[in-house]
Amino acid sequence: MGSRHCRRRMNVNGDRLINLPDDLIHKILSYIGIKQAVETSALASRWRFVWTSLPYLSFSSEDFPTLPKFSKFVNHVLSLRNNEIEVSFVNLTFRGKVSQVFVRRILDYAISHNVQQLTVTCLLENDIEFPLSLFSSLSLKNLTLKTELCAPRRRSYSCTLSSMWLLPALTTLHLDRIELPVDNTDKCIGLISKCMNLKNLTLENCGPVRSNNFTICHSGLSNLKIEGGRWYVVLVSVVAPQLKKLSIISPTSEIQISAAPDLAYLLLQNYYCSSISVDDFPQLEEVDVCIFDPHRDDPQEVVSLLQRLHSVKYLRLNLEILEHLSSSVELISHQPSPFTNLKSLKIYPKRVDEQDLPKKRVDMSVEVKKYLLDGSPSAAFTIVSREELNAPKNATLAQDLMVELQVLLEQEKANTMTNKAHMEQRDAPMESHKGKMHEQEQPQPDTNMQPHIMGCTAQMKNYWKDLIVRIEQRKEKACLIISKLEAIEKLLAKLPASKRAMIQPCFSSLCSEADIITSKVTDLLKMQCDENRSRLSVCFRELATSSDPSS
Amino acid sequence: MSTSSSSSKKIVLKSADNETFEIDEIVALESQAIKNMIEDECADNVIPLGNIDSKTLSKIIEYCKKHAESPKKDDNADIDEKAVEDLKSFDAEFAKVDMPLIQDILMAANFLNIDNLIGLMCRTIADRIKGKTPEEIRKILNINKNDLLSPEQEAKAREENSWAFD
Repeated sequence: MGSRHCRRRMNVNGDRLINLPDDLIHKILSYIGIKQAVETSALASRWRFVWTSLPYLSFSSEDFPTLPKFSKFVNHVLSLRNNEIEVSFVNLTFRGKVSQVFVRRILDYAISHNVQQLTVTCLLENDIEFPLSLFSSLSLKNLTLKTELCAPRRRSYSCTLSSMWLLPALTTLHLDRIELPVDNTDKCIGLISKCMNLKNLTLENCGPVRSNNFTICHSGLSNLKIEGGRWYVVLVSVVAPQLKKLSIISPTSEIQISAAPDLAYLLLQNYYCSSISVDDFPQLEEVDVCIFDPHRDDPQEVVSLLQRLHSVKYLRLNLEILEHLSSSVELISHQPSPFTNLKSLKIYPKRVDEQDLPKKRVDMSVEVKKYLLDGSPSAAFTIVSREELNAPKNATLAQDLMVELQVLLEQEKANTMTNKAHMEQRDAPMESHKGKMHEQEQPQPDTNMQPHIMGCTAQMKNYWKDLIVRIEQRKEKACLIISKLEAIEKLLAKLPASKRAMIQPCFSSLCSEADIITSKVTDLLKMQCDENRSRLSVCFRELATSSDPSS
Repeated sequence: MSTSSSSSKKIVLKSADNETFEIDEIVALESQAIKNMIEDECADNVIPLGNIDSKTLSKIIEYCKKHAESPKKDDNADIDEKAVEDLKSFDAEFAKVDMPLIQDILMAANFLNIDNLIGLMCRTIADRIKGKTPEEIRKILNINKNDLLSPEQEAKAREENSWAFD
């Protein structure tokens, strides 16, 4: 594809895109939106008409200030577009009624140009009805129909499907937030059974019209995904004998699956497992079960779910299910392991934060592990611990704390040095720089060694106060340093050994640095104590002589 | 399941400026065109790529290496997510090059038929011209002066599509 254009030697500094085949320019244009794509016609002669053969059309009424402007734009694009070129992909997002002319115009254009993939998003301002006859197409393979609520959401509006479609080529259907009409007698969703070649169906937050249960019945369906649902729905039944892949994510109702002898893949994500009733699946290859709040279930439900998955080869379970099961090991301790084909078992935690876990938590027991693995001794077993999952976060936290501690230590080091220098400066004159002593001593108020006689005792109290303040300050800093070390130590203890080993050297060097600084601080305090002592004796002598009448 | 089949079979690619690159076959297989050649057994020991210079080719090999090494579908979904994230950030870094090189890579990826890379380069170009005026886009894409529309033609193009420009 396109190699013929490439054969030409590329020129070194010029415009390379001039040699680019149209399909690649189309690809670029598909990312910038149809509005700007049209503007590229004024760029250069290479770009003059490229957009008119774009096979991807994406319209959104949200790109225009008013719906009439949007409608005008749609008309222009469709009338200027090269009518000979088919469209493979159409995306339409609009607000307002389905009966607006542009909706019909775009869908008709898409269908008459053999569209293969169509995505329609309705922004709901009111309850709307969508006649499915608008979609009837012989070429359409992939259809997504979804609704979104326009902000502000005062209330929830619905989009109900009506009439029928004819979609013999459709293989993939994705409905999101749509009201599905159901047959009065068997509660089947008729619009699905009308798509004879449907293979993949996704129902996201969909519910039946005027019914609290519905049935998905399709003889050819091989891949089904049900995500979310409506609060008023009690039961969803699935009758799809060709089903190979099934994903059920946070259903709001009970889901009953029957007769799927070829089912190979099952994904189950739910708050509890009692809401899913499944028949026996003899051909399961891969199963991923994640029950968020299993402790609300009867542990017997867990056992019965596991038993029905007996044929699985690759099994993933979340740790919480097994912790819950571990609280009632008597249920399984005399039972044989249901899994005889297991090639791999992986256990991972769903809830990582301590506070999200139930208070009375039991660790996964040996019995549970035996129950899972005894039937397949050669299966590969992996378990991901919460520590492992938390490791990156904890490691970052520990490293951040170490940086903070480093700064703190530096500050404390500098502080000690200046304090010490300060004191030595005061002491020094006594020994060597006697000459300079007086000039320097004058501006220092606390070294005024000639207290007023009446203030002598007050001065002594002040000296003690001063010393205690200094000690308190050092103590506060020391406590801060210690609490940081403590926090880091705690985080390190939570890390797996390999990660800990990476951080440990840095932590150790911080500890020894803290040690050095602490001893420096202690030295300083000692000096300050000594100073206090000598100041006090000066005062005592002063006091003694002041009351001596001979002086 | 492609556990980076450690077949140490090597493929040599030769750029337009006669530089040779020896790479693992599995890396070369990222290119659908090379894959077809190997499958049809019409690939010699050295595959000459007369329209790709060494700078572009080494960039492409860097991309293919990373994508060939990255774990594909595995029963371990956590690793999958991590690998996907890792690949994403690699792609983002990879695309941080100047426009001429992006265009060269796109042309070469198109020739070698490396689907993901074509997509990445198209998206990168789109991101850089998105929301820009035609004048700015001409500069960004380094559009050839000889290819510019005459003032009359440009006026006509603008008028024709004036509904899109307001």
